[in-house]
Amino acid sequence: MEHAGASTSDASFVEQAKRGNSTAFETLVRRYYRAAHATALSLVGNSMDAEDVCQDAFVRALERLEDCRSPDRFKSWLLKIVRNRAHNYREYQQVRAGTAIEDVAVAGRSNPSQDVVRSELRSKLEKALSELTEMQRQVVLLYDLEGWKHDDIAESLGVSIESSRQYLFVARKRLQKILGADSVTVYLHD
Amino acid sequence: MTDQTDKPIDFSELDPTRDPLRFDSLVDDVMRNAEHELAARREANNIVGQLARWRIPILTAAAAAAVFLIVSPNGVTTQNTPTEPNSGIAEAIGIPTEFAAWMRGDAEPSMADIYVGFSDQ
Repeated sequence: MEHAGASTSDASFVEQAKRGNSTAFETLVRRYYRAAHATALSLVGNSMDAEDVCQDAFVRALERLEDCRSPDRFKSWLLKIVRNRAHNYREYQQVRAGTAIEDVAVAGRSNPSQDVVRSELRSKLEKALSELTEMQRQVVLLYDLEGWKHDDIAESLGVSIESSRQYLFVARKRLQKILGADSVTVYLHD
Repeated sequence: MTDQTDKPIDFSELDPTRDPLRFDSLVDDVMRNAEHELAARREANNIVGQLARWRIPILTAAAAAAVFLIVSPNGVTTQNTPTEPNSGIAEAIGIPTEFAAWMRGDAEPSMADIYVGFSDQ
C-alpha cells in the first residue's frame, strides 16, 4: 500500500514518464492501480468495468501529463481523471449484461471450483455495494480496500473528515446487514 | 459507533492485486495501450526528434532564402545607382555585403578575398 512517502518520488517518476520512460510510467501504474480501481469500482459497480475505466484513465493521464501541475500530488490528479472517465463510462457505455467474470479469468488457473466460489463472492460484494450511494461506496472502498485514512479520503472527495467518517459508518452498517457477519474481517490496515 | 461498524469489510476479493498474475496482465494491458504515447514522447525528447520537428520550418526558410538570393540581384541592380551601395535581400537577411556582391558578380573571389571578407566581420 502506498501512502505518505510515495509522493516524494512521484514527481520524479512523472517527470521521467513525460520523457517517455516506460519503467517510470509502469511504476506509477503499479503504485496507483489499486486506488484507481477502487475509485472506478465505486462508480461503475463491477470489477470488469472498473478495469476498463482504469485502462482508459491511465492512458488518458499519460497523454495529459503536462496538465499535472503538482507532480508530487499525482495520485489525486489521477483519481480525478478516473472519476471523470468512470462517469463517462457509466453515461455512454451500455451495461455489459451477461458477461461472466469467469470468462476472463487468467489462463492457467487450476481450480475451477474455487474460481466459481470466488466469482460468486465477488458478485455478492458488487451487488451489496450497489445498494450504497456513490459517496458511501467511494469512502468504504478507499478505506477498507485501499487502506486510505479519512483525511486523504476527505481531501480527495472534497468532503469533510467528519463526513467521511459518517459515510464509512453508514456504508459498513448497510453492507454488514446485506452480507451478514462473514463480511467483517479482522485484518489491520498496514 | 458500534463495534461492528468499527471493523473493516473484507473486500479482498475485489482487490485487483490479489492475484499477481492477473495484476501483471492488467498492468501489461495498460502499458500496451500506453506504448504509442510513450514512444511519441521519447521521440520528441531525443535530439533526432527535436531536429525532425524543426526540419520542415528550417527547410522552408532555407528554400525561401534561396529564392530571394537568386531573384534579388536583377531587381536590385537595376534600381541602384553606381554611387549607392549594392544592397538587396541578401544583405537584409544578414549576409555580409562583400559576400553578397561576389554572389551577384561574375568574378570568383580568391582565397585571400574570402579571408579578408571574414576578417572584416
